[in-house]
Amino acid sequence: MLIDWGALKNELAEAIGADKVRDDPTTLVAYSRDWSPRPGEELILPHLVVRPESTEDVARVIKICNKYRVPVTPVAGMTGMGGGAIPFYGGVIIDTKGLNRILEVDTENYTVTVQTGITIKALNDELAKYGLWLPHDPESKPTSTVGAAIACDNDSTFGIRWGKMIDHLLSAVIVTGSGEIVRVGYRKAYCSSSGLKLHALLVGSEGTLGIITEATLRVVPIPEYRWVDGAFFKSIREAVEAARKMLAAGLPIDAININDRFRLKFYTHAYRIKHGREPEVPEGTQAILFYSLSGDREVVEYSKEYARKIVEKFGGQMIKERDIIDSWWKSKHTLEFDPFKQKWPDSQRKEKFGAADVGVPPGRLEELHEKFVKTVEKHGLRILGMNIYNERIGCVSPSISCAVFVGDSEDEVKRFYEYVKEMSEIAVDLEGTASTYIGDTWRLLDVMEYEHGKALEYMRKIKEIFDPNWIMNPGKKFRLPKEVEDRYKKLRG
Amino acid sequence: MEIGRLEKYRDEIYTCNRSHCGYCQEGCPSYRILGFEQYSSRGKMITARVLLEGKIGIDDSVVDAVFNCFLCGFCDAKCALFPTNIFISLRREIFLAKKTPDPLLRVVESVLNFGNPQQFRREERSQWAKNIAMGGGNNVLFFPGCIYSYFYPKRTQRIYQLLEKSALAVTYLPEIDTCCGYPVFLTGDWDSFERIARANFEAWKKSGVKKIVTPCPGCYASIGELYPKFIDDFDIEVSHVAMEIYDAYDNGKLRLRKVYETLTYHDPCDLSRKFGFVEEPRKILEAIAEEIVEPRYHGFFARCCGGGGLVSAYNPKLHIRASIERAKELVETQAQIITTACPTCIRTIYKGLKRIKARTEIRGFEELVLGAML
Repeated sequence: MLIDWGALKNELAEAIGADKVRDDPTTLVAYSRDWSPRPGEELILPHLVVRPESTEDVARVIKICNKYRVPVTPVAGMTGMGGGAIPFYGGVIIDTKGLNRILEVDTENYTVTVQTGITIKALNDELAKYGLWLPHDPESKPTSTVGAAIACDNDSTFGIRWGKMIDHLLSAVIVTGSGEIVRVGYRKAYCSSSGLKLHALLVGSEGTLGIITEATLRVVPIPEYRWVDGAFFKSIREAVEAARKMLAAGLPIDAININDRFRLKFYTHAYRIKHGREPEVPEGTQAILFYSLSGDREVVEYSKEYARKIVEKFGGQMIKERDIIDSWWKSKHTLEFDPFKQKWPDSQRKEKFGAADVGVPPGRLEELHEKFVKTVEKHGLRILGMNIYNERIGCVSPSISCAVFVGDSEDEVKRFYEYVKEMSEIAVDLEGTASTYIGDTWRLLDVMEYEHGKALEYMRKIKEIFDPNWIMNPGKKFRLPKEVEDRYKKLRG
Repeated sequence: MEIGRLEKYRDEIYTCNRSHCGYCQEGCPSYRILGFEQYSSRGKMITARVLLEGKIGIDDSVVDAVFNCFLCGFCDAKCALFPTNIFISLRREIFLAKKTPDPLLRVVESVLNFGNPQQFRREERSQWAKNIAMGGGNNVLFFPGCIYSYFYPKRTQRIYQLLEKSALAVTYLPEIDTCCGYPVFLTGDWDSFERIARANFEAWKKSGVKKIVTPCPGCYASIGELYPKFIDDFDIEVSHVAMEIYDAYDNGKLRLRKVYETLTYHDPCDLSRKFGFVEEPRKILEAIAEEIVEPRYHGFFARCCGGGGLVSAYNPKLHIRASIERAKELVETQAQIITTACPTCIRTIYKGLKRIKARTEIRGFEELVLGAML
């Protein structure tokens, strides 16, 4: 079936306004990329880009796209590392950043209701006026949005204290793949045993069920004070043990990262520039535990000494060079770049970072690390290092970045994705999971059945309830039915 | 500021494409208002790439993305790459492809024919100096620039008085005073800019000028930074009036007293982000006001007033919308007076204040200093 793109454009323009619908070359190329490693010269264009500003407009757009049976790719910050925002089959991109209003700040109930195209940073800038804070904190927060954080289930520096988006999301409005507007969740209730938790289905749905247009989130008071620290360890196992003891002691920990020795170089860059030499690192260091404590100043002051005692008791050696700790914290949270001096994106001049984002239980981390080093070598890539984020409340809960450098060549990008696939399978074999913060996107289609088995059939059935015509972000998370795929392939001409 | 053809920036452009972090978007006035990706620095960097690779040609959509940019440099402050150099280069490519939009060609014509971008008559330029006794100047030229000369003659007089009073002896040469050519440079017509620059340099040399002091950040950037790139033997020192004031204050030559209650300072993009003049004006303001209140976005990360990049000529509606946004941010500080060291910013913010019906006054930085001299 040939699509009359001109007619589709006119219909969309009539529905939501001509100024919100574009198909000129500059618009299309601007939506051809996200953060994921792609061959340098590749150019994958949508046919149209729309930028609605309300739930109703999104519903109108999706209904029209349904009528024409064209692919719809929702995008937000386009900082996803897995290609989730790339319109592989063309079609219509819905840029959700036009839905960027805060609808209600409820200081009585500690909730905020937003249109989901607002960036996390913009939301927190506003919440700060009320002394409140959405503690979901990815490094991409100046660009990535609330909606993308829900749909991509991305990572958060403060996950160990506050969890991930699934822990903040109380209710949401979704425009399904058939253009219906559905409210899911429990309004502002923090707990419920009623019905099925459809709002939880949205977390990590990657735009395959529909577009989340509004969300009510729990927020928390901004802590009065925070202390950030770090320690060297002779093994990942010892660092994990120390982290567990710190949590068990009841310390007000709000972030824990455990880095391998390769990754340390990432945080000593600023030190080298400032001091002109390498920092002192104890011999035999294999892991670096970075952590932060937050709360009332008096509590934190007491806790920081107590944390140090635990670190040292479990074989850690506190990092004395504050520049290293500051570097980690700037990179993870404050993003306080010196104008014109920051490493970002200076560090990507020749190649970029890419990662397998696997999860394994804490006891399998050492095994995973060994396999990580070997797998990187096997695929002829260069190691950047492993960072173990912890993102479930109150426990060592690895969400792991197995990062490498990736060049622009088609061959290297291909080897990178083979590496990702192999690491994901290794993680499943180690009683873990293929993805913890990037999402499945297109890159893990081959691993989905390996990880989920028969459960994948149930997931496909759920997908079809929300999106019966397979128009929503096709080619991501689920393999397309053959007839749909054949039809979409023809759209590219 | 670097200048060069787009090819020169290939590595920078590819680096941005690899990174795609989008940190540039948060404070980008064009992106915040127009919304689509290509208006942000990150989006234009992809446009630059596909142009370099010949995947698209220069069409209306490229022109639209490039000339809706204020060249304010917010993206530069958030990035290691200095993207505005690349956007200026894109304007050059558009000029060479003969696709420069008409309103900007009219700016060039006006500067070439009238010596200013707004088609004012040449003889009006020096009206501000009519009843003022000109000092000796010692080869230091006062160069007020087009905006001050034509739009704010009284303010220009006061700046001149300030310089005289603070013993920064300057002279004014009405017979050779004309546009520095900066607006022409921003259109991408660097050939005309070079001719203007050479003619000005020759006239200044003939008059024995050794140093130029200007209250306009655009003129300061143009003469101080661009002229030496086009003229090998350019040897005139260039300074901004606010910098001279700071030096005089710092050296104890200028004594000030607190006469204002609450002030807020709007950082002109060309002075703050380009030349790092951020702390100095604040030290002066601290000396003349009881309280300095900062807008949410200030210093290196201040938002553009909407006066940059010739957007006012290309897309007046966008220019006004940006001025309204900035005016709101400045009014939110509840300062008694908004001040800035740039005539274009004064003019643009004033438009924004008028649109939002705000009563807050905007005054030139130099005027405030004049009123606080001991």
